[in-house]
Amino acid sequence: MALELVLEEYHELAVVILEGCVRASNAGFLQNTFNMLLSEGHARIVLDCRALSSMNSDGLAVLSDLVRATSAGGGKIVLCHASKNLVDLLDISGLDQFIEVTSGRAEAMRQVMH
Amino acid sequence: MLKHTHNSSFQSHSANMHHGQMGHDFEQKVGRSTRHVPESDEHNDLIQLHQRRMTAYDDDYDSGIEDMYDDDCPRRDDEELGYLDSGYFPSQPLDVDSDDDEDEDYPSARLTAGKPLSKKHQNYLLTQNGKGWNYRKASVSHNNVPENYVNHPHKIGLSKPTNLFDKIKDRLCDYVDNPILFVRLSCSIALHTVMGTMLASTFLGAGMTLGISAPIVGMVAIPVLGIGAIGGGVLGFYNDFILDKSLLPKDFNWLDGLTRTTYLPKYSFPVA
Repeated sequence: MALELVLEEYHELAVVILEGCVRASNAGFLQNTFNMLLSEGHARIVLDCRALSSMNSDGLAVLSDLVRATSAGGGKIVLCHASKNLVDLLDISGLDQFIEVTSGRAEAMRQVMH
Repeated sequence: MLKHTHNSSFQSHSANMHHGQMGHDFEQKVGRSTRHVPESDEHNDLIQLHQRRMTAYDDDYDSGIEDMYDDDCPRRDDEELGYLDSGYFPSQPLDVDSDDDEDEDYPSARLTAGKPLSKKHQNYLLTQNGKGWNYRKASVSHNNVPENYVNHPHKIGLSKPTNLFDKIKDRLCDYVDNPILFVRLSCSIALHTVMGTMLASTFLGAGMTLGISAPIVGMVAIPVLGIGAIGGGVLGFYNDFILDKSLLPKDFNWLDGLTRTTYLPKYSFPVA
């Protein structure tokens, strides 16, 4: 299953809508996309996971790198529309301490700007 | 009422291209265009600058790429691609080569991020702009993914394939993506084969100690050792390939702690 990303850019903020599966074969693609956003100055990133169907440890690694990169740049990432499984996954991995999860996208965009 | 948005200055990629018209052309190619965002949008205090769509297709979806190609959208030749396509990966060392040899039908660019990238790691990027679909084949690597995660992509988390065939296919994809998994599987089979053989030998030795005659022990030695070796090998395969949470129901983990001997620490997330 392909991974499709929709990028919406709002000056410092970027919204990334993930559609499909994140796995080993496309984790590099996702990582490169995040790197591109960061290099373009989008230090505050909202990940919209409403259409994300699966994620393996490669995806978690990319998320952890993104957390590290955004924190270093004074930014932040917030997830929205995360399923319970995804929330559990973040909890198990400990990433929930570094990634805020909100229910709606508007709330996520407010959180990420604060 | 509509809010009029504007293009931002093109910064990150500008080092790789000429200024002026070329930069403008690039923004057109990647779909960076002026947009109108309704003020009634839920985040009306923010002005959306761009919207892009990018897709990474697995190799299995080659045919899908062809089907999605729009003949009305003119293909860009390699000269036109040039450094422009590399703009998607500004964080990578940019060394874009035209890739005529592998696929002449489609424009493509190889991004060499430190080392040559194998063909199996090539993803297909599909981008959309105001004129239609543009797509290209680009090589991306796992260079930015920590080695531990590349080597041990245990399936965890969200939804999974529902039937066993898809599960096994998904598992096989992991092995194709990560050759080191094959090494781990081989080691697991070898280890369990040796263990099975040693266990069978122990029984034979015990039999001789208890007074069973040597000819009888000799007659059963080969079958017992064979069964031990084959059984050990099967157990090794089962342990490494089948005994995975993505292949088994959630309540089927009673063997997990008993036989999972070759798995290294599974999840350690280097979050600073």
